[in-house]
Amino acid sequence: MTNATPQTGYAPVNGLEMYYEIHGAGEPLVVLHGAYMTIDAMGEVVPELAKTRQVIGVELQGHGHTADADRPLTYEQMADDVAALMRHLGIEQGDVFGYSMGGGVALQVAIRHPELVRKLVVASVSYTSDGMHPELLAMFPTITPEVFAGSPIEEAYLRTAPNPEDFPTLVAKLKQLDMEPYAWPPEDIRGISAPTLFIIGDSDAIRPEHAVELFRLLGGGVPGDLAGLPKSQLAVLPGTTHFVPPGSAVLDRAGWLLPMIGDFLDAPMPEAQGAAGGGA
Amino acid sequence: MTKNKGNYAEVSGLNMYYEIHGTGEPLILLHGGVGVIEMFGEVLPLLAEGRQVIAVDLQAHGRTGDIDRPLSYESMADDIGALIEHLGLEKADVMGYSLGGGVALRTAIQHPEVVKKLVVVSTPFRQDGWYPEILAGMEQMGPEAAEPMKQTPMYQLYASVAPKPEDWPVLLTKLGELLRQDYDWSEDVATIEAPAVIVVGDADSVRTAHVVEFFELLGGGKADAGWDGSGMSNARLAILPATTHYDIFFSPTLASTVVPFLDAPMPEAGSS
Repeated sequence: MTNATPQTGYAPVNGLEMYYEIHGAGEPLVVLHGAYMTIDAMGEVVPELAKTRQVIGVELQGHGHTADADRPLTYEQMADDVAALMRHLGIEQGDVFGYSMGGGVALQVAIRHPELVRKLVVASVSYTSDGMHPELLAMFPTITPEVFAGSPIEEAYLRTAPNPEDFPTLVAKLKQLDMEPYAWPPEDIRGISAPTLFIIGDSDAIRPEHAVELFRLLGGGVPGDLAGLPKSQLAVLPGTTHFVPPGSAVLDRAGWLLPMIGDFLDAPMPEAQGAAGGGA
Repeated sequence: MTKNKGNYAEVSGLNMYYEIHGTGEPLILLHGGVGVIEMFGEVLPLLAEGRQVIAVDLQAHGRTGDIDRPLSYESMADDIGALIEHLGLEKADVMGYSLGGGVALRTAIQHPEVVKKLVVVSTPFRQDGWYPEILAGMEQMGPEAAEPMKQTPMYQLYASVAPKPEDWPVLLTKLGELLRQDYDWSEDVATIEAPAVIVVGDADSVRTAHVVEFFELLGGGKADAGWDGSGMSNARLAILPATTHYDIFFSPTLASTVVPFLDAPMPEAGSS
């Protein structure tokens, strides 16, 4: 972890007591974890990024220290929660990095609250449910609280949750979120004005064709030597999976992630030219 | 063996120049069109930190003189197969960029018995894998380009090492003929058994959608890895952010992307 103890707190937003941790100092970067996860579960990427910037780790509704509320888990609602937290913390504009479900939330923050987002880093998420491999979609209905028995996910939940007995509720709500087909309008993605770095593993839950489609909507998919570099970037990490087996997931690839995220965030903002145009 | 200076091998009627850097498992390294070994910049020493890099100047490139034969991927792949045999190597990893990537790919197709692992950088498996505007540019490659291209660093490198620098227009003529040839290696690619990684830049001259098709032909991209990783094939795909066709080959990120693939143990036979 970073040298200094993080500043932690609970922010009253949209009926939630939303837990956050602030690590490091500098330009703000909001980090959004994946489903079933906590800030700690994001691994060494968070403390490493905090060496050069202010990282605001957030625990989304029903996750980690943030208690559940009487409403379903939706990407749109979680995005509104994150936006409200940023305003509560006085962050006028920040970078946002989300992984998996947190990546979907990050995209929705950029779509619904564009004024809050400077740059966007999105890993391992699709903007339509059919962007995921079919076997993953088939797996969602089989998830039960029991499959997590003894797992690091369950252990972290029991250790951090204000109401540890709520784990089955979290599982039920996440199943509902994951099983509900969705297809965000391509115009919404095309309209994202924040420069975006999109990252997947080559053996991720996300189909590579889908990543290419999303990149194209963000203005990528052009020969940079002739057209110039688009403001958005695509990274595919070789030999890399979504979350398991341990050691091979996107978040385990700190050696690749840190330079690419650091370079992307540190580069000067492109001159304002409206939303990205579609590439060839 | 730590010899670092160049050697020539008599293969396929060529006097083929190669350099050996580092020690360990052999990796044949193949430059791009109009290029020479030196174009890899610091990528070469980074690769050589953990293995024996055998960097080659292809026919009519660098220090390897031309012969009376068109430039073709197929014949250059035969040259590489012959070089691996000439060097007494049972098998070698083969890595190529652009034109050299096509040669590496054809070597794995035509001489599978000598290729251990395959690294294909910024190369399509079919002519239409290039963006249309790149194909349009290839139309201009030929003897008329010889004079204007003398202003490029590539010519400076060529002229400083070529046995007959006056052959520059011949090289461009033969390259133009090669680049304008239509080809489609999809059926051959599907038969490759060597573990392979495809590497491109996100703003490369090769279409991103084509690269995904390439990955799938090699057996990748079709399924989630699964809880135990058993859904992973032996094929790998790497797309480097903010990278184009003309900066990928000397990017240190190319080395840090490829080295873990080369260092990994060979998968067990039959698992693909």
